[in-house]
Amino acid sequence: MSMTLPPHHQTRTRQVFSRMVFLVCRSASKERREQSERTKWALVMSEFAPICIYLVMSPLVSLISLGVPFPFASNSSTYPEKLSAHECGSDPSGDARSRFDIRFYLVSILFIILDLEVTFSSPWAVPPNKIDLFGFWSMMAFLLILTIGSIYEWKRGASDRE
Amino acid sequence: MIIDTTEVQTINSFSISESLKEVYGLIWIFVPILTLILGITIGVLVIVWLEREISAAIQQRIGPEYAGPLGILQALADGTKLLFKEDLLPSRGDVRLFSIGPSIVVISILLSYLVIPFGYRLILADLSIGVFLWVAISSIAPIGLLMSGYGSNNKYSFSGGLRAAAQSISYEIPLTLCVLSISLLSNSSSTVDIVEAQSKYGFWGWNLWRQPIGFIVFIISSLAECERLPFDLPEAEEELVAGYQTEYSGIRFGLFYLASYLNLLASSLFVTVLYLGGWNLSIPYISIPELFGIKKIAGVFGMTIGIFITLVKAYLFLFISITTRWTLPRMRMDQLLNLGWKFLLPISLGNLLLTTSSQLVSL
Repeated sequence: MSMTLPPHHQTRTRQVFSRMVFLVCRSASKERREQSERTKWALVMSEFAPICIYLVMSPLVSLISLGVPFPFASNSSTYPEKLSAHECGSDPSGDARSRFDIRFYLVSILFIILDLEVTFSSPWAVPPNKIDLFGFWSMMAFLLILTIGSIYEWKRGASDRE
Repeated sequence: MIIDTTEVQTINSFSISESLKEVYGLIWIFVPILTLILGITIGVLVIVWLEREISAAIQQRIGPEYAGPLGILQALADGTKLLFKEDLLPSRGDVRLFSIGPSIVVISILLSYLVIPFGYRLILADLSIGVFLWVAISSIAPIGLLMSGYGSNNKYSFSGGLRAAAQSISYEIPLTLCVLSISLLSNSSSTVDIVEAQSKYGFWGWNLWRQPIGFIVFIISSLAECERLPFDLPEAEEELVAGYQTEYSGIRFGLFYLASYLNLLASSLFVTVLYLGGWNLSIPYISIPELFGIKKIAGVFGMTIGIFITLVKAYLFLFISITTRWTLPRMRMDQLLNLGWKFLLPISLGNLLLTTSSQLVSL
């Protein structure tokens, strides 16, 4: 049995070899690209790493302080009165999550409108040099419409908490 | 062969040193964060002690005197006591909301320390949207208060939570408008740039003089955001037993307590940064490097002085807010909302328009 490979196998090896060379070249370019990506990523990370770590640390602060008293602050001897809702000594009557004042709803609806206003005006206010008179007056038109709306709301007494 | 192994060894050691460098870099990120958390914890303890001493002086009492010299350790003793207290869960409440509530409040307030500069280049993250990050993150806190008020299943807690949410959302708009006019004036919303815009002309360069209306509105709304006494309706003792924290005991109550003082410290630091010139010494004709004969302010000495000046200004504002708490009576709920919606909001909007017009004229 000869050690030479059959012809079709030889072509196969050549194909594999050329493919490998191609892959190596490609991986080299890919590696370079990955490296540049990595440096970019490192640049971004060096700016945002403290934020990410702080985002993890600050929940840990509260979770650790919740977990520390666990061994010695367990409620071993409880009775129903101890765990019932505090209502100045008498038994709690009914559920606390009943109807509440409509004016809290009105406040939150007003908040949504004016919060949108603030959100719109923040990009308008931040680069003042880049905004010419057109930007200024378009914001004024927006604010005028909003002011008319809030004056109407004021006159109708939606913000009166009588 | 020998050469090969040494090469491999050098390559290995090189890669090890690379990874070590990365590890060191990671550790160096942790150091300032841990220092900051430790520092603000100590700051809160100092505020609690100061509040007790100042209130005692105002009410002509003696105040804490047994725990440590001058009662300095009183706040620490109180905190330790809260750690050992029984942790009660109300039987008919929602356990998840009840447990998460105080954590959300503390986390959202802790996150706002990310953008506070304590000294020259002494800031955790110098973001270009610094003040807006603070505004955005600090509006998460009312969600936690509402959760804890709803989760307690107690009428007092529920009303307290609703009041807290209504109060903080209505005072958030004037606060944001004041911050907007400050960032208009300094052409940037990064906290470092805002401080550096005020560094010329000593204390005449402070934003306090250029934005007097904004300063007053900011102080009033930040007091209301902290639920300090003229505005402490969510926890009014006479009407609602303790508001949203009625059912809480042990360390969860302690977290609420910590959160309120952390909020107070954060807002006084923001008053310092936005209106009082931050870490600058702020005396005209005297600059720190010339005074102490050092070339740059970036050294350890300059850093310490920067932190010291920031803290002095912040604690000056804290003193004002503590004395306000112990002298002024509480408002009614309708007065509070009227003040927010009908007085502070138009005034701060007018202030913003005035600032914009002046910026446009000066272009």
